[in-house]
Amino acid sequence: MKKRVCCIILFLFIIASSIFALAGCDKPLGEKIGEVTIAIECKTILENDNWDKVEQGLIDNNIIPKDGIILKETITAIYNGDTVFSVLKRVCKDKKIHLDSEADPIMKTYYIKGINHIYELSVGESSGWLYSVNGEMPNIASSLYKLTGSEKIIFAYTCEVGDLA
Amino acid sequence: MIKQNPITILCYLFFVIFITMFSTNPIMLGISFMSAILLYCSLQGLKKTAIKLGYSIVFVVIVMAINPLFSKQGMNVLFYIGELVVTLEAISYGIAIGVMFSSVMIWFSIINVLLDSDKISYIFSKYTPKIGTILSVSLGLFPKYIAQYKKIDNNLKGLGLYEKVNFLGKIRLKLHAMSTLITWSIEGTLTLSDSMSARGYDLKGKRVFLRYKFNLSDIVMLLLTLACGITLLVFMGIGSINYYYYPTFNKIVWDSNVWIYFVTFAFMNVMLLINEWGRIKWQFTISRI
Repeated sequence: MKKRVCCIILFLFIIASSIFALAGCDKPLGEKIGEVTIAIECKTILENDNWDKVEQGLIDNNIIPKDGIILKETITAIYNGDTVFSVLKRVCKDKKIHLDSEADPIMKTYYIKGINHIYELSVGESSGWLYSVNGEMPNIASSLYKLTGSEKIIFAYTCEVGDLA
Repeated sequence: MIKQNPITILCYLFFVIFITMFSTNPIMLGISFMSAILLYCSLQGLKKTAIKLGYSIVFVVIVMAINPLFSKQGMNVLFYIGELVVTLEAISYGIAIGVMFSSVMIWFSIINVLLDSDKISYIFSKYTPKIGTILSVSLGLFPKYIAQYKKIDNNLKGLGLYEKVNFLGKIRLKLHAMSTLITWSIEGTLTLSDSMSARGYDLKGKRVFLRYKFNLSDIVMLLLTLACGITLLVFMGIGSINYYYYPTFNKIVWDSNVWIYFVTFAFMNVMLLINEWGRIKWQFTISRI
């Protein structure tokens, strides 16, 4: 009886871990359709009011760059079927920038929890990552926004509601 | 058994458990876990302690394995499983949380041993006799039910029913034993309430005989507990000893604050143990006789 329960638990654990491992496997890239610029920045954190709220761990380890720019404007190629999220993921992998995202299996979207070890809720209660395309903030998930070419994407860290507009 | 007054013991254990629950500092967790294990050993003997220790190690390993699945934070990457990043920080955080949970569990089983239903009804009898009665009766029911469940289950085994059925059937038999237990318990409750009212529990001026007294040692220990506990809570409130695991480990700066904190916590944890040192020694020598 006990052995069987142990076996079932172990089996479930293996299945769960393999699902986790396989869920994010890269699909092969389609044909190239254009180029976009992408930038990642966290200038809002450097403002005085917000700097007081930063978690101690981020300050001790010098994680926040002095000028607030994690990735300066970079031109990158996009391929058929690319979304804002997939471009971000590819760029972060190339430039070796830490990226932590969580998949939502029901909505089939990704939520960006942290970039470069700066996480949501690290600077006050309403902080987190937002993105804009051509200066506008779309109302859909970044993994649903299809790219057509020559867009300008900025990922920016927000500390208060509305401080990026 | 420990001779201290139940109120002192309750106060002491409350502070220790409360502070252990809200700390993530590895040194504090280590102190709490070690003293909980030693105290448990002095009360219950080596064999039971070994079983407890084994369970907690299994628990810690499980939490350690599960935490990296949900947390990709941390700067020291150990290895990748597909897209899944396993970091040193996530694993250490899992270990810390596992140790915290298991030490709290051991502290609670120490409560179970130190404060039996007599002592609980003593603690509450003066001010809220109803709560005391409810607590002592309901806490007393658990071991009773477990023992009765084992009896019923053994009966089913003795009838040979378990060998005839498959896995699902076995679950069905367990449920059957459960329903038998519930029927039995309803009957038992009626008898219990009858006997309680026969002893005058529902009379107005009913009092409980107080066997325990406040000695000098109780007062000293209560004061020490309160002093240590309040110091620790104040330090926790200030936040000077907060410990973080993400994005990478906190470096502990050994200033006076941290020293005061650790020494106070260590002293608080071993306070009961100092009394019990002879018993611990006895537990270790008993096997050689």
